[in-house]
Formats: sequence, C-alpha cells, structure tokens
Amino acid sequence: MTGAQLLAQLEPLHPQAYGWALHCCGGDGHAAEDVLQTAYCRVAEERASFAERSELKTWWLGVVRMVAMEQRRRAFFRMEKLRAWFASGGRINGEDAPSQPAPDDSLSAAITQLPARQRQVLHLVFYQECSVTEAAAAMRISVGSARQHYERAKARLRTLLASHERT
Amino acid sequence: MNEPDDQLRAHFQRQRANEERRAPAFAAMSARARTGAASPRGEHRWPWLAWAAPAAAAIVCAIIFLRPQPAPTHDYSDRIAALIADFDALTFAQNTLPSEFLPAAFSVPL
Repeated sequence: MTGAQLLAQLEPLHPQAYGWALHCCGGDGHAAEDVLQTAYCRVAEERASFAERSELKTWWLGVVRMVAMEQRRRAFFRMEKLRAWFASGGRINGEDAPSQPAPDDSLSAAITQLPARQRQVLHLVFYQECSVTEAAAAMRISVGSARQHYERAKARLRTLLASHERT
Repeated sequence: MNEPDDQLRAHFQRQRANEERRAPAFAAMSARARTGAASPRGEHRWPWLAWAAPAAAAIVCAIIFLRPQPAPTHDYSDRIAALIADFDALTFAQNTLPSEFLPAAFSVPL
C-alpha cells in the first residue's frame, strides 16, 4: 500500500486522531497539529507503514502517540525554559501565559489527577471507543497492563469523586 | 457511588464533540504531507537549515585548519645549540639525583 493510499484510508480517522494528538500533547492545539502533520508526513513518505498486524485505527493511534512522544522529548528543555520565563512574569505582546482549560466539573478535575497511562487508557476506551485490547495495541503495552491501568483508573476515580462529594 | 462509566462516557463524548469541531481540515494537512511539509504552517520551519548548518560548519573548519600558518618570527636554534653544548650531564645528575641512585663513581666529587 502506497503512502497516498494509506493517507486516503486515514481520512475518516482524522477527527479522532486529532483528539488523540490533543490528549498526547496535554491539550495544546498547536502541538497537536504539529504532531498530526508530522505523522501524516511519515505516512506520505512511507516511513510509517501499516503492516496489517492490527486494526488500522489502533496502528494509527500508536503512530500518533510515538510522534507525540518524540516531539515532547525534543521540546522538553525548550518548554522548561519557556515555563521558567512565564513564571518569572514574561509576556508575549501583553498576553498572559497559555494555560490548561480549567476543569469544568469534579470529574474533569479527578481525571487530571490520574497518572498519564491511566488517563490515556480512559481516553482510548471512552473517547476513541476502543476496547481495552485495542487500547493496549495503541499504547504498545500488554493487554494485562492496559486492563490494570483501566481498572486502577476507575477505582481511583471512584475514590476521588467520593472524597469530592463528602467535602 | 455509581459506576463512573456512564459519567466518563458522557464526559469524553462531550469533549470529543468539542474537539472535533476544532480539528484542522484533513485535506490541507494531507496535501502538505504529500509535499513533505512537516509543519502545519505550510512548510518546514527552517528549510534552509538543512544545508546551511553543515555548510557553516564546513566553512568554520576550513578557516581553522586551512588558514595559512604565520612564518616563525624568531630563530632560537643558536640558543638551543649553545644550551646543548653547555649541558654537563655529570653535574646535572649530581645536583638533581639523590646520592643512593648514583653509581659509585658519580657520588665522589671530582
């Protein structure tokens, strides 16, 4: 399958891939666009090829995740400096520092308190409507690990929501 | 406390609906990908860097290693020859080495 053919097959998955890229980039829209564009380039240049060992969707979500991780690694030190600069009161053209959207309810707040892996598995299951097996394939971990992350995430959410209701 | 599945599903579906509206157009992104543009802004951010960085490094290396070396301005060969001629190995050894390391003939002042 050529890169162009694969790109055509990825079109229906585009909104979901963008949502996943956003999740992998911590909600940063510009970074998510960069990640998705780089992932599409990899497909067009046939550096990422689909070997049909899994579903197209899980393979594609895995590619997006890997590209996001690479970009995050590359951007880490740059972002640390930028954060320090914003923390010291830096402004761009009078604008405030970009911030994460404020959680709108207790559930959002609880989800942000979960470890990254647990948030990823919840996103894949409830947002991308993957099964736990598909989530494991997209995250490149074993099904057992994915299931553990999934169960622990829900248990932790229950605890967090219960403590929130008590207060 | 209810099972949070329904809550989670509703939360993520709401989020998904919001984000899908913000998704950039696929057509534009795939067209850029076919031309090899790695940035959504339409092209590589610094396309010139691919050739400019190695070229600059090569120029710096050429300047450092291939520049003409200045001719020596002083000739010390006479002074070095005089020092060698004046060098007295026996006196040097007697003055610098402890006596137990010297051969017996050396430890006796001449």
